[in-house]
Amino acid sequence: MAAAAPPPPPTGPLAEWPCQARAAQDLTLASIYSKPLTLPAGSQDWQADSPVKALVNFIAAPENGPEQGRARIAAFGAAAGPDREARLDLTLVGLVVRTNEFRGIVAYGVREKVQKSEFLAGFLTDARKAVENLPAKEAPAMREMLEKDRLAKAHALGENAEDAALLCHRLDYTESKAKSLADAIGEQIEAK
Amino acid sequence: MSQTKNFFAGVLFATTAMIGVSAMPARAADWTAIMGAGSQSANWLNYGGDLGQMRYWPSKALTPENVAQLKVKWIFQTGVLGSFETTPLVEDGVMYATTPYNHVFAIDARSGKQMWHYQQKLAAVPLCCGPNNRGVALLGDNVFMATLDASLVALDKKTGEKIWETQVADPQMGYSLTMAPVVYKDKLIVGMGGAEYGIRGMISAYNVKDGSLAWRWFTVPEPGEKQPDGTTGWEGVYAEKADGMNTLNRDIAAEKVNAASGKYDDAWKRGGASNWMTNSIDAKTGMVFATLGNPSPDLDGSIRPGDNRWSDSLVALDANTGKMVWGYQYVPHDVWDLDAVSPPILADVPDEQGKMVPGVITGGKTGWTYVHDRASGKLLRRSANMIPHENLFAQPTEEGVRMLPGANGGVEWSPGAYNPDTKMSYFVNLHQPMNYAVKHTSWDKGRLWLAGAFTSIPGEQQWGNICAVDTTNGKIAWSTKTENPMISGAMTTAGGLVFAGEGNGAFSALDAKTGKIVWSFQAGAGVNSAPMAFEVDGKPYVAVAVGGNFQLNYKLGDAIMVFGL
Repeated sequence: MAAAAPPPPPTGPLAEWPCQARAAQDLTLASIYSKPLTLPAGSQDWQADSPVKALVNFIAAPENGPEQGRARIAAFGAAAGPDREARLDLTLVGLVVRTNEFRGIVAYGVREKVQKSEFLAGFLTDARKAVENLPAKEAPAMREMLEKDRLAKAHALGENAEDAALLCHRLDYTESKAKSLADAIGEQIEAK
Repeated sequence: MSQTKNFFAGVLFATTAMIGVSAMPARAADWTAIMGAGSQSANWLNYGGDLGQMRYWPSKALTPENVAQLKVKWIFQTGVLGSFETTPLVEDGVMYATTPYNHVFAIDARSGKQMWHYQQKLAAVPLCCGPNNRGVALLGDNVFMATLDASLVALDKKTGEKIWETQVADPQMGYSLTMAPVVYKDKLIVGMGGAEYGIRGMISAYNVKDGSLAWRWFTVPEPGEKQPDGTTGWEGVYAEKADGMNTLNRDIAAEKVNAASGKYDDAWKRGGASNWMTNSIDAKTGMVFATLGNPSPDLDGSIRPGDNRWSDSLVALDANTGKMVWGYQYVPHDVWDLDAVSPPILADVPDEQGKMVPGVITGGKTGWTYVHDRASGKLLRRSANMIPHENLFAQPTEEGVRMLPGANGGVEWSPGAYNPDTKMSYFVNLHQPMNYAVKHTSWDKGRLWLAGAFTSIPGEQQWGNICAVDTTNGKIAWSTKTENPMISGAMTTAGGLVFAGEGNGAFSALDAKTGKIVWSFQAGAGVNSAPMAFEVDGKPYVAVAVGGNFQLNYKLGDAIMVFGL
């Protein structure tokens, strides 16, 4: 049950954009679904169709995993009427919209973590200097207090970096989840 | 609330293990036994002792006079290092304890010998909230654990074999469960941590029989969603003061302009309001009580105009349906991370006229203890400061503003205790002076946005205390200062004691009436969990997990220590 050694904690701020996913890049329908929609451009108001809206909100909700989404899509496809294909197309449109909304929020969080890392790195530098510059004759209690403060700031910087890594993962994952759901919708469209 | 993180730590523990299963008699604490847990001293059947989480052990076997005779009876080393925050449960001589990384151990409570061990397979998922776990729930022949990868698992109490597993939320999004679930009749109730940046907090109930979802309640209401007080959505009433007493220094005019602009209509989706700690159950009325965490983003309030309900709140739900009954928000529009984390305590308290009524007691990061009417949520009284306050609710600035309490509290996640004999509540506190700093900076498209951080102040002394509050009048009955900021929890007894552990390894018993330390043991690692007590063969025992805390850099360990006379 021994744990592997964790990576060394960061000592400086995060990169300007620390994620693999490109900054501020919205998903497009083409990036997650390879076939053209049959819907005319002016008929893509997916929120006007209540069952479609409910389906989109469910499958795009972050708490619901792709398997739950696929099951819900299959149930929707099985129950849909003659306008089934059009409504599944609408679902695709809504999925892209909702996923991008979520990604925008997550990207905001990444930027916040980057900014916070600059704060924290500055504080850590100050804390380190405070320890280094403490006169040798200073009381051990003060040295211990400053050392604890330095450790706390290093910890905060590391924790912030882990937060950012989680958000970057969330960005990557939303794309793969959207593709998985789009595949499921495509399967329903083809299963006429 | 800040939690220890361990990103993708799960890859280190990707096996399921069943070790050392031994024959043991069938045990079955049914719902009646769970409901009555607080009236007997042999077993500790819920995370907080009784369903109302008083953490009151109704035995007089240990007293200020004899507690000095407490000795270590056995030590169980789990082999799992990490912030060790569990409160073990004991039923009929068997202890059930969790550790970080999804382990459950069944241990012979007489000898400390392992009976079985289960580890839930943990795939490579991001952990939002550290690898810690705070305990199991028991009902009938089952042990229930909420897992780091956001599942609920039912185990066979005799063997540790898995009966069922259900996914509460998608772990790839960073959802994670660290609390001990709580039982209500035929349901398990569990809340979600790590709500931020698109994740809304939620509390869910699952059927114990098969793990199917019974209900789910989101802690942040959608626009238009009607609230029990007649408001809609999460904007609330733009409260100017906390508890109607302390100005929050909000620029409410600017918030209303922002709200009217429509730019932040989706702010509620940014989430927040985690439910970190085990919820309390009033079995008589069928209500569940929950404390909820900070809004997201934590320090930038500019993009979330309004009160941001129900962040930083105490809420009451119908335990049968999940429908909200009432809510009380402690810090509307929080920009200091002063959320409500410590579990609610259900106890009878005097109302304004002195009549005893069912109440709810909470301890806040604000450093106050709150006493509410359980039926309405009305605040009956708020305590004096348990820790120093300074510049309270000052808005963060570019230069940084010094404010007390710091972002960890006051009372962090540490469970408090209530003693009906002394009518005192006991909470452990942190004193960590902090600087709150924010900066406006440009983003793409020329937009200005706000980011910030809160950090400790070099050279300023940090400490903690164990604080007793007279719940009849809100006065501080006593306060015992500790060397380090406290993050652990309290337990109190009918014998007139309070037990609590410290980050420096001290595990102590205090006189519940005076706060005098009457016994202390140096455990060798941080005692950063809430203790419990039980009996075997009529003999009293006290147990506590000794494993430190990563968040506050307290020395890690892996031991459950059990003390007896």
